Amino acid sequence: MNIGNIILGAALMLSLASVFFTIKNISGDIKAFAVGQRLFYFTGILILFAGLLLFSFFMNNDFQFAYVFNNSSKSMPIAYKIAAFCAGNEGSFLTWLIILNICGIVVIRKNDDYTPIILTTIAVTQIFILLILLVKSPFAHIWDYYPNEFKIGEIPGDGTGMNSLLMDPWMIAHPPILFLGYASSTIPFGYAIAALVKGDFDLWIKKTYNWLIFSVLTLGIGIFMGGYWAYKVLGWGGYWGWDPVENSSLIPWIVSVALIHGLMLQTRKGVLKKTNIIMALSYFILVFFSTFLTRSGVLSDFSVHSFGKSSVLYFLLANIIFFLAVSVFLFIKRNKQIESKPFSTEIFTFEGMTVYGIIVLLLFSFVIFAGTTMPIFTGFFNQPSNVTEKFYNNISIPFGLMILSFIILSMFTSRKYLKREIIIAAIFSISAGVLFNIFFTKNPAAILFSILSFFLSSMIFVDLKKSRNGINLASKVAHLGIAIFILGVISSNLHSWSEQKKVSVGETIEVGKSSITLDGFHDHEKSDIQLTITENGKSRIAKMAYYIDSKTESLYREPYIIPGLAGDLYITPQEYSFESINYSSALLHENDEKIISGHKVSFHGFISDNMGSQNMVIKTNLLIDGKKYFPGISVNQAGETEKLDQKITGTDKIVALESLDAKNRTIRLFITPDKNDVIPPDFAILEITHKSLIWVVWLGTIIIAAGFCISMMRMRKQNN
Amino acid sequence: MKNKKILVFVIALILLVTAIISLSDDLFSPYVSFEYAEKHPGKYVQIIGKRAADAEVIHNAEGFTFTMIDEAGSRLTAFHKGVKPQNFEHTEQIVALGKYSADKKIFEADKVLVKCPSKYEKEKK
Repeated sequence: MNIGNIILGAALMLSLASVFFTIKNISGDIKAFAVGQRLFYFTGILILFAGLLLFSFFMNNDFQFAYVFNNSSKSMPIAYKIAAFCAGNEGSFLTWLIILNICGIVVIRKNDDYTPIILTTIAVTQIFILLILLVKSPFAHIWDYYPNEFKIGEIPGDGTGMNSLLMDPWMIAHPPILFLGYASSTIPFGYAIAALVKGDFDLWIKKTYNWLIFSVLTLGIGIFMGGYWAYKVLGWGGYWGWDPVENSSLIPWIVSVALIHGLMLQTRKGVLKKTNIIMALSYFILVFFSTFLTRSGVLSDFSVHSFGKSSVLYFLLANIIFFLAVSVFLFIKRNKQIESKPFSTEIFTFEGMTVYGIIVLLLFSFVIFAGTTMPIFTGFFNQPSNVTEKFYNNISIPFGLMILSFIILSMFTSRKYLKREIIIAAIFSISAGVLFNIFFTKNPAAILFSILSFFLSSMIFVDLKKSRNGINLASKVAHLGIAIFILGVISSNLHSWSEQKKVSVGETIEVGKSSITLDGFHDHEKSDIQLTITENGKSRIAKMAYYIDSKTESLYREPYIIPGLAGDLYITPQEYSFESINYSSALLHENDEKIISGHKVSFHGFISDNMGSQNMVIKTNLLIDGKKYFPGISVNQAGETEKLDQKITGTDKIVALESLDAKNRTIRLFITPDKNDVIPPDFAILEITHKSLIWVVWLGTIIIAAGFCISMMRMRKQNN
Repeated sequence: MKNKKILVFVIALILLVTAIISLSDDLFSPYVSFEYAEKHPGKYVQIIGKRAADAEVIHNAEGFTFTMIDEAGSRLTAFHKGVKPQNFEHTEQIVALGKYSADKKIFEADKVLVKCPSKYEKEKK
């Protein structure tokens, strides 16, 4: 046992005790709550301590712990050592747990009759996560983790480092923010459970509203950040690929957005009481279901993100089934007692439009859910089948149009506009929507989306001009963000162009207004390809990482992005070809024949020659232009190597053995090129994409997030 | 009654989704063997295999060509128009989505995913 696991174990025991006392309280024992509450605070101390412990192991490069060894290394900058905390499953769950616990401490400070139920929900969730952490512990010793490779007590000198793809500033903030959203989803769930237990279906929404907004905001920012990261680092040029990992956060997020609208309607009109309870329950369960999809490995064959299959699977499943069973049981029990006010019978009302909007959101979320889990469910019957990006893109068109339409219609029901305003906005939107697209695409969906987005934006501007302090400022801002986001998506996808170019070293190509010169390959620890980019007479040097990452044994390439008002120029190095090195050197297998610096060379095995020397000498048996040569290396007892080069007869050129692999019987040879030889230049294949108005996408996401922030501040004010 | 209207709306939405799914092609990508892909040219499928290390990855201005080997040991040459995934040369497994073209005798992949080798086990000899 080690101290980390003992702490986690103790936290588990205390959580169980806390649940015991809180349930005792719920069933009537008034004094028991204080005990349960205090026990929960103690778990907080332990969990925080566990987090600090793991953190200190990262800071101290304590590689006796497999998790530190697998995700960090001595040479990593401190910022990435912090980021490495969340680089794997174990640390991610610990982060989740810490945040969940902090949320819990904040929410249970206020002692009203909802608190015991909330506390129970949080503590039970905490127990499940602690179980996962004990099974897959971040504190596992390396010799327990890799029993065949390491003896007990053997501590490696350095770790394997973090995946290069994750070494990005966005990846420091992305996981904790995402987990803020995940963890805080427990609280609306807790209040919904409390509402079911107590049979009061109105009060809970007031208590949970702020937490819900917080959860939607953080999960949303987490998703957006993941998009920026994908765009900046992965080099395929997009920000969203409908990958299971992305979808699994989007599905609960859409439900939570629908829930916000539902709660708003219930507050105003007393409707949707059942639906809101169901949505709050689903939000939380979907968060865990998503975690199950991405962390258990069930979809590992269908995702670019590889997460190994693990025993975590069963714990997550147990968790989901438990909470699902409790939710369904309580809901069925109370179903008949939940009484909503009847709807207004007119179609064209604010609540009507909002309800249709909620239905569209929920169904959209369900279709994404169906698509993401398709491989699992089709796998039960016959060959598993996945869905393509086209599936999601095609579905998103009608759903997106409907969402925009219902937002616009709901604005018309809630406020009277002057005829003049509407006509001007309509004329402006139609012409703007057409002009925005017509030079790039005639896609009718794109034009329709653009018109609606422009129309929505202009109506919101009309509103904002009339009153800045309207009760709906938050929703207006968030809806404006959606319109802007959609315009950005259309432009960056349909108005962009790309081309593949082969560029030799020293060659300059013209791309749009920029000219790009390939300077060549720069070899150092993290090698890169260097370009000189000239725009408006100004030159600057651009470096694109291009090296084999020792951890993942994979080629790591980073795009270079030139931001611009009209859009980004997105340059991805596809391949770099080392022509000049290949001219004067070559890799030869035994019995291979190749041309090196104009000479025909063949390799016929090794000769070991220790005659008259203490050193180990390995020579190669070569035939160069029909004559025999034996370049080699000699290694003395101190391990120093000396190259045994040979002159090529009749010239001052040398043939040298650069490296050898005796096991695979391959060598790398070098022959000095002749002064008069024409050495071919290196070349690179670059994919150059113009991402039209991509910053509008980012702007849209920022405005959406700003809308939620405003909503939170407003609620704060009201509560005070 | 409002509830009836909502029911009609939900049914209409479901019909819309069904219509989209049944009217457009290439929405699904069943996992198939190379043999199946070759026998059903033009059908959108998903194949998985190792990259054949002895066959070079050939680049041209359009994209790149590579060879895959599946579990049964059969080989298939594939072409992808677009950016080569990050860790292509050192990948363990490749998942390619696309259609087999009978004329060109090549699998035209419009999406290529790679799986990284499980990080540690390999490094330690």
